[in-house]
Order: sequence, then structure tokens, then C-alpha cells
Amino acid sequence: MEILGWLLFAYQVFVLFYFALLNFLYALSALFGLGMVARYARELSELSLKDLLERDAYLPVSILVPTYNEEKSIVASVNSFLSLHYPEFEVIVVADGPRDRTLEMLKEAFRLVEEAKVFRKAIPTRPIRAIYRSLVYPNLLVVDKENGGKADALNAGLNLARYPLFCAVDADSLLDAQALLRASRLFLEDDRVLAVGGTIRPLNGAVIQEGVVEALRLPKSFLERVQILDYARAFFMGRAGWSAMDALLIISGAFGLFRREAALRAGGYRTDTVGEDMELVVRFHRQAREEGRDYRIIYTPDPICYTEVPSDWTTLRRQRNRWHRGLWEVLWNHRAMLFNPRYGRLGLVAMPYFLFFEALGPVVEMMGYFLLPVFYFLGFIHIEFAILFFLLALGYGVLLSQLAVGLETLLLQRYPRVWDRILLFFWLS
Amino acid sequence: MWRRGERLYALLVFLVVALEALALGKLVLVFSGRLFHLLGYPQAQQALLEALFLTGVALILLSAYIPLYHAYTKTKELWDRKVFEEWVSRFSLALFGEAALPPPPWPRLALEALLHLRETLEGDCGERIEAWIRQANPRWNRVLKGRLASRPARLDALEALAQARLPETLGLILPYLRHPDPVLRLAAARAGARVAQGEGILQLGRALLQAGLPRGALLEILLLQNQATPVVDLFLREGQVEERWAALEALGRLKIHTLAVMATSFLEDPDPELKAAAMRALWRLGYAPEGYEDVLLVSLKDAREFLRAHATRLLALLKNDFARRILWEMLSDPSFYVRRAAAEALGTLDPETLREAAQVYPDPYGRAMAAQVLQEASWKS
Amino acid sequence: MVEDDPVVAKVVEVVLRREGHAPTLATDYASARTLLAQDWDAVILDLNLPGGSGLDLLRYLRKELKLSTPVLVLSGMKQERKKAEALALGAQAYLTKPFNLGELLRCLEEHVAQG
Repeated sequence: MEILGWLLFAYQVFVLFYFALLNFLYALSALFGLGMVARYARELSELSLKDLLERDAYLPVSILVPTYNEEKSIVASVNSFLSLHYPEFEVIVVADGPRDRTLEMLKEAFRLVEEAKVFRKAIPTRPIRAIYRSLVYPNLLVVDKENGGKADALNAGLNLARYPLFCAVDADSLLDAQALLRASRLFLEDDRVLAVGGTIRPLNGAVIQEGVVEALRLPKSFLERVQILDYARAFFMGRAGWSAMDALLIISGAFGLFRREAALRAGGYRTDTVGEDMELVVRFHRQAREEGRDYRIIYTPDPICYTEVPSDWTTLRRQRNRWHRGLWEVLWNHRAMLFNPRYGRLGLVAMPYFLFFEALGPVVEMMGYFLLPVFYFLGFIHIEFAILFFLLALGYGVLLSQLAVGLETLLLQRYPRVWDRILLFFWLS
Repeated sequence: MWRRGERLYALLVFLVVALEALALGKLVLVFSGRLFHLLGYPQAQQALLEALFLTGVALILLSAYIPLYHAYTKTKELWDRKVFEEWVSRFSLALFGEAALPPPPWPRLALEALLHLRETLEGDCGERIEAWIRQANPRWNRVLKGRLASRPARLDALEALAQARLPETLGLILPYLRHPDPVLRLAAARAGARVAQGEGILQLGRALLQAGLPRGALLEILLLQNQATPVVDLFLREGQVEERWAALEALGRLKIHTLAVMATSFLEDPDPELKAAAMRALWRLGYAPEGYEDVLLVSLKDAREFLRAHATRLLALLKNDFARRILWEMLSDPSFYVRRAAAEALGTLDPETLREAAQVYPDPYGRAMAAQVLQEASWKS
Repeated sequence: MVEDDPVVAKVVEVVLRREGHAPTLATDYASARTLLAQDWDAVILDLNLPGGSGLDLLRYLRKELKLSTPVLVLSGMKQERKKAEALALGAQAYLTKPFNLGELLRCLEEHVAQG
């Protein structure tokens, strides 16, 4: 009994250690993230952006929009993509065998006509049923294909894309008008850049007019507000930090800009995994390192993409489940990179971090929660101790969220109402 | 977009991180000690309380700072904008002699207003503004030549110089093209492109040859310049691969016909990227590479698809039987893009032949491509 | 005047008022679209606007509203094809930034007198 008690306590200490290390790393990444964002903002020249636009110094982009059953919102989404501030781009909507009226809505709204298009199938995909061109917008293409999943749809889009850069988005992403300009600029200025990820922010509660985000207000529900914090944390502290270390593993599927040639060379998206966005990035890293090429994959705090986040627990849980599954799949598929010095900071720091803290995190947490009542019944806990501990955990959580919010509001002028900011700031846990 | 005051915030974050590290570290130690029965319960509790206390302190620090900071910056920004607009009005009216200006030195916002006005106006108004900027005697000299200025300050100064476009400031900018920091080099190159005039243009060109900027950046610079021709010429003659590539791209985009002949000499260059850039440039210029048929043939048979595609596209400008014949052959090229280029080229050169190809071309892919291009052409009109 | 750059807007406004005109300013696509329908002596149009393109506004004015209000394009876009496009859509003049105030006024007077 003594030994069991000791073991259980040892486990608790382990959880404490895990928790301590994790939170310390978070705080450290806040520091890195801050440095990176600050440096970026300083280096950004609004003047040069204006010049780029005025002098045709840009790379044209193909925007790939995979969609399934989205009859209600697809027209508005495509409209918002078509009205982006960019000199030359095309929008390729890939309807992945939708079972509702998505395709019909598109046909009506954009006056689509079928076109027998000859193209090169660089990446194998499920069969394409038809390709449509719009009479109203010459740079809009709609593809109707058999259902094959998001990765397959993206691959089909890739086959048809004709520009050197492509942008993979979600159908419900709302891009900032200048997002493309700011992101693609990085490719022009540095040949080595293979992929660029931007910042995703929840759309809930925003005031939108004609597809443009006019103002950001706090959404009503607690769940949505917490997600705003979560995203802020993940992006400004997480991805900024990783990018600064040249070990960025994730570029969100909601908005990412890539060199088409690099994607084709890597063989396109993998269709047998849920985390296809992360998987592609990891494969980029891997291939480039294995070939000894000098390359860069960066996150920039600037280009903004808004996306709707789940407002109820069920959808949220499903979404997070999917993310976790994706993460596990990618880590497993590329397990050769773990702790492998050949992959530099990616293999030695980034991937282990994701394994131990992101992937295993929920497991540890769950076990901790499970064991707590066990301990209580076995008489191994002092109540006040537990309460103190809980308060501490709470405190740290709040602290980290504060850091994230502080960073985010420091950078952007996105929440114009001070009261909103204060609310966001204190409405944490 | 970016706000000042991040240094203080960084310090704060550092403090918070340090406090956390202390608290967590001690906690872990104490609990490990407890595990091995080295320390008693009271110590563990005390450690916990301490950790709680430290976290509380950190929380209070952050909680206090952030809302205060926001309130402060918000008011300051509104105020600054008002003052800025006032200065713009003032200077605008002064251009017509309808407002008196206080003697310099002028505040920072006034200088910003002047720089913006310089971006906006030219002609005799532009010259007056130029004179005022000189009168304001800004501190760029000290920032750029000094040793202690921070990088953001230098970047700001370079950007201001880019806006001011005072020719005499080129001397301040050029040394930065040799700076070890690539970000500063790029900023200096941009500033130089906007500032350089007359003899300064070649000075800038020569400095750029040593700057080691990537080709995309060089292209940007060339496109920025008001008179890029001398620099493009310089790059083509004395530059390395990166400069030559950028020069060829700029040649085509800026439509510098006088240098078209120089571009043709690159059709035989061993580097495939340069060959392709030369072909693109000639195509953009609409310059027929007469006499270079055999050179083009080499590219047309190259294993690399993009070279074949570019060469095919260029053939359309030749407008002779040779071109027609080769384009007909290229319709059966294994690559989709080359076939497409051939069909489009044939379409502009000789639509009759393209129609024929759509009917009787032996290769099915070639036939399909011809038909498609014809259909697209009819759709466009 | 349709212009999102506050400095340009201010300068032109000052100049116009001095000449005795009464300019109205629209700073983005949506508000410009609403204002275009009114009876103006002239429109000074920028091309790069938040929410849409100035060329779209021009198209809207000429094709849907079918108005022949004189339009003077004042834009940072220096490409030839933009100029050609604007003139083809029915603009009377195309000035690039940085611009000459005197030339702007001259252009304005010329075309307002005609229209």
C-alpha cells in the first residue's frame, strides 16, 4: 500500500513537472514570439508594398478553394476571394462531389459554362466530372469532381493551377484584402522561400460588410471568446516562435501560400491523412533537408485570414479531435525525423515538442483528472493543497493568455474599442 | 500598424518569464524532495503558496500595464493624426502663399507631412516641398552615419530618404549597400532606386553589383527606378547571374527596346534561367530574333520543358515559314505546356494552319490542344 | 473626389476650394458607389481603393448609370495598360502620382468646360 501510494504520488510529481516544463516553454515562446513579431513589424515597409503594387512587381497566385457541401455560403466566399486586392490571380473552386446545391449556386451566381479543358495530371486524383469557366469573371474556374476528400480536391486544383504560387484556403476563410500582397512579397524577395503561413483569427462576432471585415467585436458566447485567445496564443507565441527558430511545422489549411513547383515536386497533398496541411509542410522540410537545399518556410504575423470557429461544444470537440488525429498521423508518418540531428531544430526540438506536449498532452491531462478522485478516495490528498494547486494552474493559464493578448493587441489595431480589449483581457480561464 | 513601447513590454515579458521560472523551478524541486521524503508537507505547502504569490504578482503587473498602455496609445494616435492633418493643410496652403510657416525646426509630424506631400506632388510644388524638407534639416545624417543607432531607426531613416528623394542623400545611402545586414541592404537599395538621378544612377548601379541581393529584390529595384536603362545595361554587361536575370526581366517589363539586341546575345547563354529570361524579354518586347533560328532550335530540342515552351512562344514573332513549320512540329511535343505554347503561337501567326491542325494533326494530343485554343479564342471574342 | 490617401485628398481639397470649387470626398468603394449617382461637375478618381477597384466604379458610372460626368483618373498605377483601360472605359484624363497641381487644375478646367 505504501508503495502504491508512493507511485501515485510520484506520478503526480511527474504531472507537475510536465506542467511546469510546458508552461515554462509557453512563456519562453512568448518571448521569442514577441521578438519575431517586433522584428517583422519593424522591417515591414508600407512604402515598398505600395511600390510593388504600382509597378507590377509581384508573382501571380492561384487560389485553391476546396469545397464540399456549402451551398449557403459558397457564393459569398467566392465573391470575397474574387475581390482581393491583387493584380493578377485566379480562383479555382474545387467542388468535391457535393451532395447539395453548391454547384448549382455557383453556376447561377457566376454564369458558369462548361469547358473541355485539357490539362496535365501531374498528381493523380479522383476523376474530374467537369470543368467550368465563368462568363462574368475570367479568372474563375470551377471544378466538379468525384468525392475524394480535401487533400484530393487540393491536388486537383494544383493540377489546373497555372501560376507559380498557389494559396490553399478553406471555403469559409475570409482573407484580408492585402493578405496576398503581403504574403507573396516574401516569395519575390527571397528565392529560397517555399511556403508562407499567415495568422488565422476567429471571425465570430466581427462586423462584416460586403465581404470585408469592418470591425472586430467580441462574440457573445464564452466558448468563442476562449477560442480567440487560443488562436492568439497559438499563432503569436507558438508559430512566431517556431518560425524564428526555422522550425515551423504547421501552416494552417485555412490560409497558406506555397510555391507550386515545390508542391508538385513533393507529390502534392497526401490523401490518406486528416492533417494534410501540416503533412505537406513537414514533407517540404524533409525533402529540402534531404536534398541539402537552402530553403525557408516562414510564418508572418501580418497576412490575416478570418475563419468561423465552432460556437458549440460538439463541433469544437470534433474539430479538435480531428486536429489531434492529424497531428498523430503526421508524427507517425515522419517518425524518422524525431530526434534525428539530420533534420536540425526540426527533428531535435520541434517534433519532440509536438509529440510530448501537444500530442501526449491530453493523455497526461486526462490521466491526471482521472487519478484525482482516486487519490481523494485513497486519502492521499489534502483538500486545501488541491485547491491551491488548482488556483496555481488557473493563474498560469490566465498569465499565458494575457501574454498572448498583450502581444496581439500590441501588434494590431484590430480591437478598436478599448472596452472590448479589457473584456477580452479579463474574461479568461 | 506597429506601436511603440514594445521595449517596455518585452522587459515585462522577460520579468514574467523569470518569475515563472523561479516559481515553477522551486515547486518542482520541493515536490521532488517530498517524493523522496526529504522534505515535509509544510515546505511543500509553502512552496505552493510562494508560487501562487509570484504568479499573482506577474498577473498584476501585466493586468495593469496592458489596459493603461492601450488607453494611452489610443489617445496619442488620435492626437497625432489631428496634428498631422493640420500640418498637411498648412503646407498645402503655404504652397499658394496663403499660410505662413513657422521657422524651422519643425516637429516630427510636420516632417512626416512633408514627406507624404513629396510623394504626392511634383512640378514646381514638388520643388518647393523639396526645399522645405531641406530647410527642416532632419537628423538622417546623424542616424545613418552614427554607430549607435538601432536597426529600426536606420530603417526608418532609409525609408524617409526614399520618400524625400533628395539627390544629395545618395551618398548617405550607398555605403549601406555593403552593410552586413541583408535587410538594411534591401532597404538601402530601395531608397537608392528612388533617390538616384543623373550620375547617381550609375553610381547606384555599380554599388548594386557588389551588394549581393537576390534576383527578386534586384528586379524590384530596377522596376522602381525612373530611368532604369543605364543600370540594366550595366547589369547585363558586368553583372553576375542574379543581376543579369533581373536585368533581362526588367528589360522586358519596362519595354526597353534599345537593349533588345543585348538580350538576344543571352539566347545562347549556358545558364537555362538566363536563356529563358532572355526569351521572355524578347517576347514582351515583340522583338523578332531574326538570324537566331539555329540558336532557338537548340532550345527547342532541350530536355527542359520550360526552355522549349519559352522558345516555342518566341517563334510566333518570327513570322516566317521556318516558324510555321517548327510550330507545327511542336504540337506533338510530350509536354502539355509546350503544346499549348505552340498552339497559341500558331493561333496568332496563322489561324488557318491552326484550324487545319485541329482537324488533321496526326497526334491526338496535338489535335485536342489546337481545338481547345481555337475554342478559347472564339470565346474571348 | 474618390481617394483613400488622406494626404492626397487634403491637398486636392485645399487647391479646389481655393479655386472656388466645393469638393466632396469618398474614401472607399462602397461610399463612392452611392455618391456617384448624383450630379457632379467632375469626378477625380483613384484606382486603388479599399473594397474595390476604381476601374469598376468607372465602369459602373458609364455602363450602368450611363452618366457622362467628366472623370479624371488620379492614380499611382503607372502601367500603360491601366491608362489604356481607363481611357477606354470612358475616362477623360489619366494622371499619375506624383502629380503636378497646375496640370490637375488645367485638366479639370478643360474637361469641365467641355462637359
